[in-house]
Amino acid sequence: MWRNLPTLLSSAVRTQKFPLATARLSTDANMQQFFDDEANFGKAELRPKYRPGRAWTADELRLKSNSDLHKLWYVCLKERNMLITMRKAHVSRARNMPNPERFDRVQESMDRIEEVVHERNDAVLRLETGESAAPRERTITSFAGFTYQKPAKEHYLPPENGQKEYEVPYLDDDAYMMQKLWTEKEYMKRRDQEDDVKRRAARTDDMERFKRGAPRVFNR
Amino acid sequence: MLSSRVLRLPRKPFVDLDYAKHMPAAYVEKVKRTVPRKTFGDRFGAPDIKMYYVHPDDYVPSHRRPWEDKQLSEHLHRADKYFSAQLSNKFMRFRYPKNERIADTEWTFFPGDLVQVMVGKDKGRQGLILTISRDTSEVIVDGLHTKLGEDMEGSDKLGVDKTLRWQLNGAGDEYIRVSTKSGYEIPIPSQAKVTYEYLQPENYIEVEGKDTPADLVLTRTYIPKVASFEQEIMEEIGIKETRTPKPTYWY
Repeated sequence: MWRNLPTLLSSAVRTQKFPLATARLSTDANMQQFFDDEANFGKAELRPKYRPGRAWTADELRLKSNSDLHKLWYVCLKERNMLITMRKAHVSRARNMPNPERFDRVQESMDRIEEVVHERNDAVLRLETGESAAPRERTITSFAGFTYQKPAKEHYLPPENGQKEYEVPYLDDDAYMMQKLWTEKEYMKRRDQEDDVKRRAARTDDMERFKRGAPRVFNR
Repeated sequence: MLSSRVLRLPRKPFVDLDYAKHMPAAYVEKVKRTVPRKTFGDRFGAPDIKMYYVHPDDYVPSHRRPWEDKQLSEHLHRADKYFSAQLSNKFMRFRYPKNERIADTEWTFFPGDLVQVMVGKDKGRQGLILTISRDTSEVIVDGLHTKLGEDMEGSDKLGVDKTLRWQLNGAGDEYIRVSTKSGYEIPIPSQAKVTYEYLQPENYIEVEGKDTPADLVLTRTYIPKVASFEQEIMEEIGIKETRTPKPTYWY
């Protein structure tokens, strides 16, 4: 079975399935997991031999079983813990951490694991219950007249009077005026922005060079 | 049907040829500093207000990689200037980058190409392309320098392949690079495949204990089952749940 799992996974599984083996390791060896390889200490940039590669792509993760994903999540989590420890160590000694993009690589992998798990759960839930696995949202209208999606919260009791918010088809006077002024302001901002774009496009290199303004044209 | 049609579309290998291909996008944005310093959200439906380190309109690309020390310090300096202008409530003029990125299908230069400079002070000299910068449309030839799109007139006389185009090959499944003038195929040099991680994809050194071997990554272990992720994990670990949750209210 170990052959079927990627190396990172198999090492993780071994420590999981055989707690005796972990117990036999000294505390030092366990603590070592929070630190990077000693070959990487004090480097400005990791050597290719010790520099981990790209993140897992979503397509690769889709090939992996749920238990593999579960293990890979914790492998990534351990790696992230290690990186945070190393960053702290570097910051306390006022050094630059080598290859800080490793944080983002781990984060990308973790985000994609979540994405794939969500895809699978979504498919099952839609099949079984007809509902999505995504966090629930409600369309509500705020006091300012904006209608938007707001994440819903879970409650044990049904809503009391005025506790549940709804989408409102007709705004009250204040909200209506707010919306009217808001759209007007947005329109004027957009208009000014378009003017700026035109003015920038009309500027020539000579104007930059001789610090000259554009020719003044009235009643255009 | 749709997927089969997509599979039959000819491959465009040149789209993936990028030195920063495997760099995480979030990291690149971070070192460019074009990320919000603070986001004022939860505004009752009004859009978020974002305060940037360096506003995206103010970011001017360079032929250097954004994560290189020199480029990064330039971005940090600009971010400081921007922030101090904001603090002292002063007007700050953004440097709206002028040149637009050339489309992937229009771009035909790759590292390792032998090129001849056709304009400027190095006119007529030949050299290999060291690096390309898609963001600034720059090509760095060893020892020489040139910039695309600046007075290319008069270069006809030199009798060199001036323009290349992407064209389908005989089998019709892949785009190849063809000279407009002579009609010969000009293969993409192997140097174009260089990324930050490797010189050639097949020569990548796998880090022991960190990287998963490629063959194991592509082994399929997923067998679809009508059970959620959590149910399957619970079953594997041996957690049995007999309680049924009471209905709750979402609002």
